[in-house]
Amino acid sequence: MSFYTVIDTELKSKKHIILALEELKRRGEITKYGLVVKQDKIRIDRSGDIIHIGLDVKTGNFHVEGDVRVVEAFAKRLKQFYAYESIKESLPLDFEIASEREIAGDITLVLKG
Amino acid sequence: MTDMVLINTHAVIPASMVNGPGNRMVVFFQGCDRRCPGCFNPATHPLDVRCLYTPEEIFHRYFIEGIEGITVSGGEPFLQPEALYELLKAAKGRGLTTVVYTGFDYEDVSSDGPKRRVFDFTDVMVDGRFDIGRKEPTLLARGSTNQRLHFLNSIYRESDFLMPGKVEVIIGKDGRVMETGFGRAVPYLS
Repeated sequence: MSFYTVIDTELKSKKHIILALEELKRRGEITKYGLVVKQDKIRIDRSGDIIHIGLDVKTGNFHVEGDVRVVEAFAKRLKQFYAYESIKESLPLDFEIASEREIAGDITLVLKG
Repeated sequence: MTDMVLINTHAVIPASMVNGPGNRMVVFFQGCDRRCPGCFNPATHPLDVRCLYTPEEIFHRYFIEGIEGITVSGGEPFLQPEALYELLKAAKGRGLTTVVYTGFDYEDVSSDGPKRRVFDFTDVMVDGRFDIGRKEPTLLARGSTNQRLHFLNSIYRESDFLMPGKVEVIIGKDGRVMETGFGRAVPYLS
């Protein structure tokens, strides 16, 4: 049998959130982002829609706050690139990405090991 | 009668590049009594009902244009021989090729009438228990080297089962991450 597993992505690492935001900026999906030091939050400008990412001290996970019109879709997209960045970084040394494609919004990585 | 057959399903991947030749829909059956040590998919072992689909529902929900075929994995597909038969028949009706992975041996299946009927709509059967001591070292699409590829017609040959990778990670647009294949690569998914 081949194997199958699935997990929901949780935003745990600020470093990977920043990497995901960089990728979203590169793709033109956000205009800019920056750290709001006083509030310990990341402020994101998405073509005029302002979204914040803050730490939930109870869970230790970061969460996305903002206008309900945009926050849900943005949080999903952020999680997708967060997962992409964290997987790339956590690959065992004997694995490498053989190919990468994006179909209908899903990102597929084929790994050789 | 086809629509009355229900498949106890663990999961369906609409398109995978590492579960047999080309781009394939993969249907993981729920339930297995083989209990191979080191099995990748212990969550598929319980015989409890998980998701019941007719073959038509599976194609309606998950079929995407352009796939080459369907691969049935598990779990143990031959614990649901009637459902397996109808699913493969429906796949063939759509012009798809069919590959079945089983923990039974070919000989066990071929000597059992209801199970053997599945061969009518199977192109390739990969048989045998997973042996953790004999993990497949190459990109051949099987878990361990004791497992045999049985080509029941001339559609495929062994070289078609050399995969472009060992593992495939699908990061969905909802942020969910799915890993499939014949090895594990993403530590935090383990």
